[in-house]
Amino acid sequence: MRSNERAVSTAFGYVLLLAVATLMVSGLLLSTGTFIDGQRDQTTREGLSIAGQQAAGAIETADRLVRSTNADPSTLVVEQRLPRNVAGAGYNIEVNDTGGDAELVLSPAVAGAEASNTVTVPLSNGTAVIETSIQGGPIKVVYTGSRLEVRSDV
Amino acid sequence: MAHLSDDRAQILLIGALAMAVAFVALALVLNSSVYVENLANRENVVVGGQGPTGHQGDVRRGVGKAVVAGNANGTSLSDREAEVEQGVATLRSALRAYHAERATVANVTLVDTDEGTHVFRSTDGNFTAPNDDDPHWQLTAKKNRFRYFSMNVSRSGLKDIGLNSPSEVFYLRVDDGTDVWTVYIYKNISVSPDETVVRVDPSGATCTDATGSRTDINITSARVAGEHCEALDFFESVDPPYTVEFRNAGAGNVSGQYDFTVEEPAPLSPDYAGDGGITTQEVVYDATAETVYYSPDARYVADVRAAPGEPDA
Repeated sequence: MRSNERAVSTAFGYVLLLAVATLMVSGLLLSTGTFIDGQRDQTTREGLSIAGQQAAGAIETADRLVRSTNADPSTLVVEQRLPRNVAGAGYNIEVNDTGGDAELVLSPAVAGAEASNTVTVPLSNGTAVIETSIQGGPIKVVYTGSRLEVRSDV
Repeated sequence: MAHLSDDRAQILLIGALAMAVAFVALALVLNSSVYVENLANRENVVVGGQGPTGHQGDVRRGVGKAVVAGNANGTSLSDREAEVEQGVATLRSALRAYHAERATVANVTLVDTDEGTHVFRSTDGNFTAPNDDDPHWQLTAKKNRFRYFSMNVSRSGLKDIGLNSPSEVFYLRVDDGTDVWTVYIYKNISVSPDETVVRVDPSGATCTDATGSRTDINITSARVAGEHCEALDFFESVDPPYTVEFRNAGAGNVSGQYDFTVEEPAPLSPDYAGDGGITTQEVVYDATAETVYYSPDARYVADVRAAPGEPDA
């Protein structure tokens, strides 16, 4: 009997050590992964929000220039160097004309991206804006003679 | 035992590698976050005061000052127009030099000027129509724009509201074809000291002045006795062209001086020139200039109109 029970504690201790180490490493990996995902989502939203505000600034600048001149400007192009990627991924800019003031909708251009990462930036514009959807990156706002148009500045 | 020792710590090794990858991913995300913050804090020249909007404002103010200086320095209409042209040329040189330092191309060129008439009563009198003493009259027969429209009235010459209804005191009637505004000017002696009251209908808002014996009322810049008068802000919403009438402008209702510039060449109708107390001058009413602004971020070419003293100028 005695001889059968000898060295059991060593094997048991080893298995226990493996189990605890596995649990700890798994826990750490899971929590780190969740933390990174959360940070990525937050960074994506912040990045899209800032890109949206800067695009809105360019559109509203063009709008003010159109409205504050008696005759329509013969040339009006306002460029804005927006980042091509936000948190390592591309994004799309959608210009919606809601009837009154327009709005910009920025969303990550990755399949299966979380809908909560989509950012909407309202505009305060007096000049109509053409509805369009473009890839994120440098843009230019062009006055077409009656409306403003947002184009990719490639 | 030897076989066991080869496999030992493999799970720790794999775990450590996975953790290392996770930390690299975290570093990348944090780096993106720092970049986003950096992007948010960058100076934005296009939407800032040094961009095309700032340039357009500089041109509007500069051309407006050229019009004011040209009218003040010139002695005839052609002389005044030449002065305005010279003023715009000076502005062009200054703007070019300013923007050249900022890697921007800017230019301003005078396109045209519109003739107007400066009318002013520089000695005290009532505000009846020139030459026929009609107390109810329209300042110009045609619908027009006005700028630098002001009056200086003696409080003792105004009617007291305590004894009269608003329709009996002196008032201006501004009509743009859609809306009508009435600016009543009277005194109130039921308070101490007596005060001059400017009341605007339909809002019913008032501004008062109890200093001295006279009151400066600037209709187009919305000021009473040098202070901003919110009641007169209505002029910003008047849609030009419009008419301005004086009502109850006879003796006993108002006494003082008035001054305005109207976008119509002399002679006006009614003809002010024959009235001894009133002076008229042919002046430049407004100027239109082509402005050009080229920067790495914006290209802007447009005609900018400057009419200093207009409510929205």
